[in-house]
Amino acid sequence: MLHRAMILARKELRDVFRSRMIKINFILPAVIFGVVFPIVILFIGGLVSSAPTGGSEFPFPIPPDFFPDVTNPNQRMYLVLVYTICTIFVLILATFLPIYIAADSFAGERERKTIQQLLSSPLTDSEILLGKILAAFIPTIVTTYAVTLSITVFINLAWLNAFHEFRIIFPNLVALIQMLLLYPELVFFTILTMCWISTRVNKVMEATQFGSVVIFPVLLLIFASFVGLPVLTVNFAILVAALFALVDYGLFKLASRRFSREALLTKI
Amino acid sequence: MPDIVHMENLTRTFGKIVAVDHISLGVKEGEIFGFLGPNGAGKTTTIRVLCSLLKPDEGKATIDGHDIVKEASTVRSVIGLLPEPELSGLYERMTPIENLTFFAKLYNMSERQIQNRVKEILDMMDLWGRRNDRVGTFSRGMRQKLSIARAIIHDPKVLFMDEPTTGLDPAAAKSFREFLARLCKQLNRTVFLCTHNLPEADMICDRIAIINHGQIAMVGETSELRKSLWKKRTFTLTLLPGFDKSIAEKLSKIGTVENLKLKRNIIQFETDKPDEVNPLIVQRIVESGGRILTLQEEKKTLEDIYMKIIGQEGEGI
Repeated sequence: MLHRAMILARKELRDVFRSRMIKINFILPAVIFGVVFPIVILFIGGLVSSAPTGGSEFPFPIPPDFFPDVTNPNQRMYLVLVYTICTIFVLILATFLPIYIAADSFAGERERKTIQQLLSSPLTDSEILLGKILAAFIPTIVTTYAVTLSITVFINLAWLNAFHEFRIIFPNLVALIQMLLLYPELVFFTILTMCWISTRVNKVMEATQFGSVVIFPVLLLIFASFVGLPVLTVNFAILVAALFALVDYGLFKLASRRFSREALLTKI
Repeated sequence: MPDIVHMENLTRTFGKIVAVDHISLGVKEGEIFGFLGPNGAGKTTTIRVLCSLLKPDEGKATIDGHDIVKEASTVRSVIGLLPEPELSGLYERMTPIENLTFFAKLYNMSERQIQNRVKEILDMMDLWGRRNDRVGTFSRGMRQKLSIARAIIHDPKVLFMDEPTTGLDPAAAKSFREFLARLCKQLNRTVFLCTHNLPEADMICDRIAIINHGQIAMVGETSELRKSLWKKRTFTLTLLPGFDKSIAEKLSKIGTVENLKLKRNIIQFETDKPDEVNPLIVQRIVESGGRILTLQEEKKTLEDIYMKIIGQEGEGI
């Protein structure tokens, strides 16, 4: 099953990345988050190190086990800023990157009148669904990790530059859990949601418009940090990752069960 | 020999609309089977059901012995589908080689087989020179050729084709018809052909079925259909000028001659026993001093058959 799904995924990647729209949708955020944003972090590092007061005036509580050995208020302010902003930005990136490819998955085939030919091939329903998911998942997760790597390098460089101390301050365990579990889960969530929407509309544009709903979980996380939930703790990170795993599993089961060749050809 | 395409009471509805209404048909291996009918008659739905794209509401069908519902994936691996030209199904941002290779891989062909087959088919379709150009830059005819190439890339046992020669120039259409004939007669492949091009269907189809309102109105070889629709055959006699015009009245009294008409030097008549009647007519004319230039039968074309069955319904635009 995986072999034929990968054949489809490779075709998808070759096809969709020849669209200028998709290239721009992919490359632009990657450059902004992977290059421009780290430069801003360097700048923030400089600003925070020379700030007159410490970082205890955040609008949300900082967990006590968050870098307990760092007592310098400027350093704490830098760490909190970096971790909060990075978490939100990378999650936003992971959420938005696959939207267009996943929106294109079925609506695009319909729009370009290629769906019947694909469905008349020996591919099973599961292979088609999996192939479409992989086509959006692979480039998104690769880009998200590349951006995260770039951010990681810049954060640590900024720390060295601002406080003249060599120390790997990013990622900590919470960030690692987010990278290894939450990022792929969130990407998967977005793709599944978008693919589902894509099966139910005729045009890619309609699918992307409906697709704004995928930002909801990220908004929830941001909201959680502002209402005082301990988002920077290991327990919370594991809880969120477990929750997303459940949601993704449920969505995948639902999508597999509801996927219908007939509906793709006859409805709308 | 069992039917390679077999349908029994096949029915498919969309809400209250019965698109395919209890169709029972069989197509033999190596046959070119024409499936004709007006727009909305149920042709495309029938093909989609047979290709396991839609499930039937009632009845059953098999392709090469495989049930279209229970063995859908197997069915899809033994068929090739050429959809109607506006649904060419080609990936326009990809090249012909990429399009064909993608589909070939889905049929578990090896890399070597794929390379050879792609080259062979693109050569045959006269597209090898454009193998690395994006399909989006192709003309309508070239796209149609590539669609045909894609439908036959895996050498399917049964080919479903919807208007295959639309968009092809006359020379390409002719060589495609010859290719289809070779495919069926030499390689024993089967073609299920939907077309509105009746002269073409008349030329290449071994048998035809005419579908209307989801039901099979008639099925058989065109010669059989002619016989069943027109009991009498029509003949035209052309005489050299200067014959005795009163001969017409005498001829109309011969045996089973009917509807005899004389217009200038042309006599037209109908008969259901030409073997008996025609020699008599010739004899009478010669005896009366008339000289015959030609005697020929007015063949009913497939278009005549189609129009007789479908009537005026299909004429609206």
